[in-house]
Amino acid sequence: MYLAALFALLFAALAAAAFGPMRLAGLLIAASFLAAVLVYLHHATDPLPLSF
Amino acid sequence: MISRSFETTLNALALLAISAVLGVAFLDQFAKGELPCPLCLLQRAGFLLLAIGPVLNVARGPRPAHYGVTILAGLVGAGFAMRQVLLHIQPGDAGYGAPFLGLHFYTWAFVVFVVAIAACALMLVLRGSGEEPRAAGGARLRLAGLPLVAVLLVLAMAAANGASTLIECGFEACPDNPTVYRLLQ
Repeated sequence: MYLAALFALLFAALAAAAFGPMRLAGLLIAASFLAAVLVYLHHATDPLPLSF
Repeated sequence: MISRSFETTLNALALLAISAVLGVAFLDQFAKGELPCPLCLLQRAGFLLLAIGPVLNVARGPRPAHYGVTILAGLVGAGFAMRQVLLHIQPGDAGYGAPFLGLHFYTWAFVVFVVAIAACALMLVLRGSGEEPRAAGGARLRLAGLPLVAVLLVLAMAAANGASTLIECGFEACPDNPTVYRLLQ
């Protein structure tokens, strides 16, 4: 569900970047980056099979 | 040094390339029936983040800050892809999904994100230090022709990915290894 919401946010950010006011575009772009990183952190909980 | 119009054309071509990458992912999803995992979907989101800088460049004029946005997106996307590469790095691990041209999609994604970062660095070198006069507040230019088509194509890809993800995952968290479209069950 939240991944679909992330794509909706990205759609809004891209549309605002192309056709909307710069202030709104900046807010949506920042929110998109933040949301993407938060979703990543939510999924990146399994330990990696690495040994250094 | 490259002209502003040529720079805009290159950014429009970059948008077409990003759309093509997302198109290939869609083609694999529907032609081979391979459903994207959450990390795969995150990498698609990374490509849309990567498109923000070129969209700003074609819609508001090329600026170094827009390339900065693309470099940040490239780093974020490369992080997503590298995570999945490392999850399957152990010898004997077959990886997630079928390989494409010898590499898994997440490995290709990492390569493309790194190439995008390098391309931005090259563009910043080629465009020189001279700032062209521009309207205050990031005013929009009139989009037409190739840049307009490229922007609309990227927007269509974002919308299609949102719809596809909703159909795949439904209103719950996406499973790690999806096998069915939940909303179609």
